[in-house]
Amino acid sequence: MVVRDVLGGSVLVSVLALSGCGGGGGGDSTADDGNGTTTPQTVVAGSIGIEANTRVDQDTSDFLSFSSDPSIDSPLNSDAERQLLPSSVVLGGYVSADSGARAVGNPYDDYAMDSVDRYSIALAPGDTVRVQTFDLATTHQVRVVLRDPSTGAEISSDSTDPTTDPSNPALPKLLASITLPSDGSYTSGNYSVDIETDVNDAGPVRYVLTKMPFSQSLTLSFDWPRFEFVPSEAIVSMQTSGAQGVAALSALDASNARQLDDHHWLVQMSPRQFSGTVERQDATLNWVSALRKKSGIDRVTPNYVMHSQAVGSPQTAVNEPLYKEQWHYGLINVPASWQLAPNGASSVKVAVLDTGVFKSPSAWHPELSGNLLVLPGSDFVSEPYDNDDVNTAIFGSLGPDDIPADPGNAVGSNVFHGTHVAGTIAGDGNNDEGGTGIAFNASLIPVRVLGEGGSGSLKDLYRALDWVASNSGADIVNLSLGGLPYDQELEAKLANLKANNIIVVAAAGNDRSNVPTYPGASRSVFGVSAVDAAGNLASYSNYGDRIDLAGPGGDGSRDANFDGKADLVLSSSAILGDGGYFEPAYIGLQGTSMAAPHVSGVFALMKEAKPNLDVVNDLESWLMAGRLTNGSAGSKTPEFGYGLIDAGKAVATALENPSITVLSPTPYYVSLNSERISEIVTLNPVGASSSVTGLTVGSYPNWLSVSVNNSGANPELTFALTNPQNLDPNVPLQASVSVSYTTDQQRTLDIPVSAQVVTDEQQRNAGVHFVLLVDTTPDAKGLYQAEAQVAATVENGEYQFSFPLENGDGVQTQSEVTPGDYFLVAGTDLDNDGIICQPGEACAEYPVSGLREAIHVDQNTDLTNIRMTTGFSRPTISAATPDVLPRPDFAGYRLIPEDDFVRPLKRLSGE
Amino acid sequence: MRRMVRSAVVAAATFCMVGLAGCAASTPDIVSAPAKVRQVTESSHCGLTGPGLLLVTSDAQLSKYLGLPAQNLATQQLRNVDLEREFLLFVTLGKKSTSGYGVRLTSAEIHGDVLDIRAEVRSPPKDAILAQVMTSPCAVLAVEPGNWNAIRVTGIGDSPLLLRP
Repeated sequence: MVVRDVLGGSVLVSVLALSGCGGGGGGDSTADDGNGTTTPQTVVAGSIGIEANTRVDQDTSDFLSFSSDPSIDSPLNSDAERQLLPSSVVLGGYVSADSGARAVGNPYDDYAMDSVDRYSIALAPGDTVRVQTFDLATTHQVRVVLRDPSTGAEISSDSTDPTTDPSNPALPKLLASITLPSDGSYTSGNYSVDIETDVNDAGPVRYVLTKMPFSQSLTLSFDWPRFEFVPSEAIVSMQTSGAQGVAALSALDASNARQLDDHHWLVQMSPRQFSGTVERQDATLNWVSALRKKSGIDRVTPNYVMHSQAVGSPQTAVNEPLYKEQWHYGLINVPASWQLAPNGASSVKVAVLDTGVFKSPSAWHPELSGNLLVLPGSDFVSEPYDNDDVNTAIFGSLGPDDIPADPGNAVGSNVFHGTHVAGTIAGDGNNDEGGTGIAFNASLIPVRVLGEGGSGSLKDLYRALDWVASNSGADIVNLSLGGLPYDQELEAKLANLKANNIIVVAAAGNDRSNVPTYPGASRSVFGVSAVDAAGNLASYSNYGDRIDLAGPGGDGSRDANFDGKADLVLSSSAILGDGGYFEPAYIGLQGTSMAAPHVSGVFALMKEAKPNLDVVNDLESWLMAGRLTNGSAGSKTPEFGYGLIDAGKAVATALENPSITVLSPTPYYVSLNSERISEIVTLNPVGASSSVTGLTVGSYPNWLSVSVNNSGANPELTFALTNPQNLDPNVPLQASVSVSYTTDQQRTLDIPVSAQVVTDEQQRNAGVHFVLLVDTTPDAKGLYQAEAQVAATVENGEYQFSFPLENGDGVQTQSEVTPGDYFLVAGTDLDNDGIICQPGEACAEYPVSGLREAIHVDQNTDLTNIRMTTGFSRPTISAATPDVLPRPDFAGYRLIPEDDFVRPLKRLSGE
Repeated sequence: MRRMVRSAVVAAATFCMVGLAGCAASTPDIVSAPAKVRQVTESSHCGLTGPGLLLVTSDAQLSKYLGLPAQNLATQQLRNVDLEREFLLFVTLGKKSTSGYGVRLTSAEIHGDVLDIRAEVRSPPKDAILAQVMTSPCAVLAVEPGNWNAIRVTGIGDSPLLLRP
């Protein structure tokens, strides 16, 4: 493809110049260059930026056919010539075990041999590289191999297979992935990844390789949206309601309107709009586009038959070091509280009234087992709700018994709610697996009150509360349950606990309502609302005057801290293993159920700091005085009550010793990159004393500098990359910096630091781009034919292009455009088949990919400052991009055929 | 699988057109027949937050929908389904604010060109105490392709859910 375009294009430019010498003419569409020749008037021009982390295989078929004999394999196939990729990358690639021709007699769509692509990628244990192939009709097998970079030994491999999937033998397998094992055998560094072809299954293959945070990988789409919709129907949102809306609706070219609510109507396309020459789906989409331009319309969408809303990352990562994923602890200053309560509340007992905790045939959940205090008679679930007779030896008998184990649900799956809640309060912080709880040494008393389906009876709760008050010895009770109206007896039992100086913490509820639900709304408990990772009220959380304080509950619909993952609270649970049995695990959940145990955990640390902690005189008093939260004295809001719990502040308050002061880092975790080469960490004193002396920083690696600034109100540490330009851009860096200081005594604070050198912007490359002005309607094959075309190579991370208006002189070049309506598009043709923007190829559309709009070109057109963006991913239809329409039959944009290279002027001018 | 389903749709559509052309003055009979639909699994934590129907016909699609945030599904049971012979239909209730909700298959029949699936929603008792965790219940059904061109699921909400494969 490049051969044709670059070489042929230069020849044509010469021809044009020669013919122009004798010519002149041209009127408005030309300009005299001073030598008597005319220069075509540029009417469409601009630049194309590239999405972050985009790279292209350096030996794609277009490149190969340009640079060498297509039957000779790529020079980039030796191990020494590996293409270095950044640690996060979306790469479009091409491989083929042979070379060949697609059409007889057309040398310009031949494909080249490229038997293997070799890459070097920075991987950490657990990182995954995914390779997706495209286009079933022409896809052939590729094998993805992860190799040790020094020995070349294979670590793992996976293959695509166009004919069979091992788990579904008659289905194609178009996605292959390899993961660097996280069993301790491998460390972070550069690893070799090969994309190999199979000589027995030769043929060209387009692929996209991704190595991104998992949540981002899942949200990327490499094909145009092809969602199903009901033909001839659309949902119309009118700008006005009532009679005005009806009047506006009647002006539309639609029939059979059915009102859905005040503003929304389901309308049908008039039969006369279906011409018969256009596919019904295309006609519907054209009609939707036309409706959007009508006055009085707020929004029009096809009548989709299914909307899937949630994508993101799974939070199950049993073997991962999970503390850094527990963003919810940094958010509330838990690291500072651990300096003040280093024993993790070992003397405190917390009763968790919930579904019980997970127990396998042999043991309790390993994250909890070390802290469990299982008491006789602690399963209160009565028969109508009970389901634990599936194995009486493990779970006890039907009805109340002595084993508060969670059997899971008889129907449906389970997330072991009580296990998750208990893990946040007192997950083991010393067992070198999973994450940790806040009060990591506290005694957990599981009390089972919720049975099948996570539901239970109020009478069982009554009995459990009485038992806790008199038999358990619990200091704190966590109630991540509720949904009840006011109940006098329940209120009395909660008041009894409070009278016995037992702290009760309860979830506020998830109804996004200010209607009080109990027990969270009781005056005898601390009712907790939920916040996301940025401290905003979670989208589901209840609010109102019965909220006492807030805790991290997560919000799966948000990524408020921009860590690439949904804001879910990570804690212990169990998942169904391949053997059909539940196995201990960590999962992410959201709810005020998750917010309450954060508060319980902090109260446990406080109880250790002050064993005689009083519910009324201490906790309630301090809460209202702003000494437990990020709030100020007396400040209460419906969303957060007296504020978001601050573990460091709360435990320091409980210590009641003016000499005790610790430094709390904000942020608690430093993340640097080449676009953010420094970060200031403020060390906020937590405690009554502001005297901090002898602040010194321990050793740190030479890629990092740390400086101390004591001139401000609070000490500041500036973490900076020393020479980011000299660092390997593909190797993630990690360090832990110790900070020593003296307040009442010498203390040490550890601050984790990560860094990645990102020089991405200049290095972005999506491959040779063809920029086209194409017809606005497709041909019978779904292809849009190019009327003008230029090729562009990347320069400093972007492409430049320009189209002159055809001036009537001599022959027309590929780049000259005749007046008319066009779509402006650009993209790669990695497999050299003459079509751009196929799945696996980069694509850009004007003005926005997925929302292309026709531009009119004539002598008055002046679109010379266009900016577009290209990449291998495709827009999806989502809440953020509701106007993107599906393209069920889209086949791509067809480059100008070679035999159409020089076209008679008469034909082009339409004469 | 995709082509098989589409073939069935085309066949059904052709049948309807023939029926209409040949019986201009009469209404075609509605043919009822049992449908081959079975429930593979159900869960209160499917991770799909919108109520509706989701059709999965390929492994790649299935992989995309397994591992969503806050999901706990019997993934191996789903992977064991032969997607060449059956496809998977997720019947989702959407977000629920507590535990205690679920959905399950009760019956399936073919009525004319529509696969009619009846599902039953399980809700917690009004006076129950409930875990205050966000849930996303669903049932996952395995459906054999047949001579129908739409799937209608009733019992989920006030109006049927309709899906045209």
